[in-house]
Amino acid sequence: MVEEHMHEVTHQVAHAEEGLKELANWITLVNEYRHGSVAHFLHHWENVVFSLTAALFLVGISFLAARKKLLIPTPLQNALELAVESLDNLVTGIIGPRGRAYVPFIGTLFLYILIQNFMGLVPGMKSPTSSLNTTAALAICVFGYVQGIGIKENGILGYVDHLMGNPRDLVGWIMTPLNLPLHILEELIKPLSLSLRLFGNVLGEDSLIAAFVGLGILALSFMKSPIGLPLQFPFLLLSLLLGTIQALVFSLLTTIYISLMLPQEAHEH
Amino acid sequence: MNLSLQEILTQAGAFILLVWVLKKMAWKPLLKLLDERRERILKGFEEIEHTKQEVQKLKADYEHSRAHIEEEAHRKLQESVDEGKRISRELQEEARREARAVLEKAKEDISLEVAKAKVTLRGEIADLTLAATERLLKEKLDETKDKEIVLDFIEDLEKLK
Repeated sequence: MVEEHMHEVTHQVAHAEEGLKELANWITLVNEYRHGSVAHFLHHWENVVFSLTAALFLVGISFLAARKKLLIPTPLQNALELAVESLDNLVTGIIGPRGRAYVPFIGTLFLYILIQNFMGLVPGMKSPTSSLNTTAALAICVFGYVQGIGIKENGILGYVDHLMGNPRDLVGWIMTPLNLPLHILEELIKPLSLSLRLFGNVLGEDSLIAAFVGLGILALSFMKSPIGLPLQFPFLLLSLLLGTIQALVFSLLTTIYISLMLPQEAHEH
Repeated sequence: MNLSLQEILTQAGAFILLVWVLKKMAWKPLLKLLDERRERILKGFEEIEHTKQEVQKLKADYEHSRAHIEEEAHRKLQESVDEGKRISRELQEEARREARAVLEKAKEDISLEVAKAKVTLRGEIADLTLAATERLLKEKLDETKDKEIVLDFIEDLEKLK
């Protein structure tokens, strides 16, 4: 049943992607004008190339900002410290002091998604998060990380106990055959919902921008203008806001999933 | 576009690598730096508080010392005034005693001089009496002459006074 549902979702997603057009990026142009193995390779791995660009950008910024570690920081170090401290406060605010151990993962996730979301706003670039492959990869990483934490913090038996709904009385044990598949399903649905939410939102934003760019060009086409009206401008601002919100939602939900997976006593902190 | 397991795994691998790199390069050092800075700021505040308390204590000590010094100065001043008064009183007493002694001595001297004068006077009176008598005996001629002689004698006596 789950497989059927997954197949249906994939089908719907493929259908949605076919119907929606995004703006051309530099790889599209390379593929358009230079037919060769490199162009084909780049086009095939388009999302990976842009994801790696985002990753390299983050690594570069981190290297430049954190190499000196000054007590009185430079503006770049200050900006990165602000991001680090804000994310640290966000995670430890939800999980408690133990959450500090998960800040690098959640923080990187947030910054990585944020940069990828914003990449679609740069001419010639593309948001890799508008592809389900990218968001699914991130969601799978989150899934693996959360389950890993569950096993590490609770032990194998504790982890299974958690999946069974922590039965402690007769009613709890009677409910176990129902609770166990439900919890397993819940854990599987979490990455699915994470990836689909992010993918859908970013694809929607990028497609909206592309549609209004097309409309702007169309509006001035009667006078053969080389540029169109910037009708997409309000949606660029909207994308800035929604891109941030989506990155935050993804990271926040990851934090909550980790928090729910931790033992009860750690929770109460 | 369909789901590509190859691409998903590549993306996942890239992300895991990114987490690892950023954890080593940025997260750990920056979180440590932030903790150290927070610690330093807290320590700074604690030191400021401690210094404030020390300043308060020093101020209180200073106030106490000043009050003590003022009290001591006042006491010393009072003692000096009292001492001055005592010395003044003693000096007055001494001066009075000396004056009294001088007066007594003067009185004694006067008495002595008076006594001496009396003795001298008595001698002179005796001499004068003898002289007058002698003159009277030599010049006993008439009553008028006697009278004149006595009157001269009396005048001489008055002069002697």
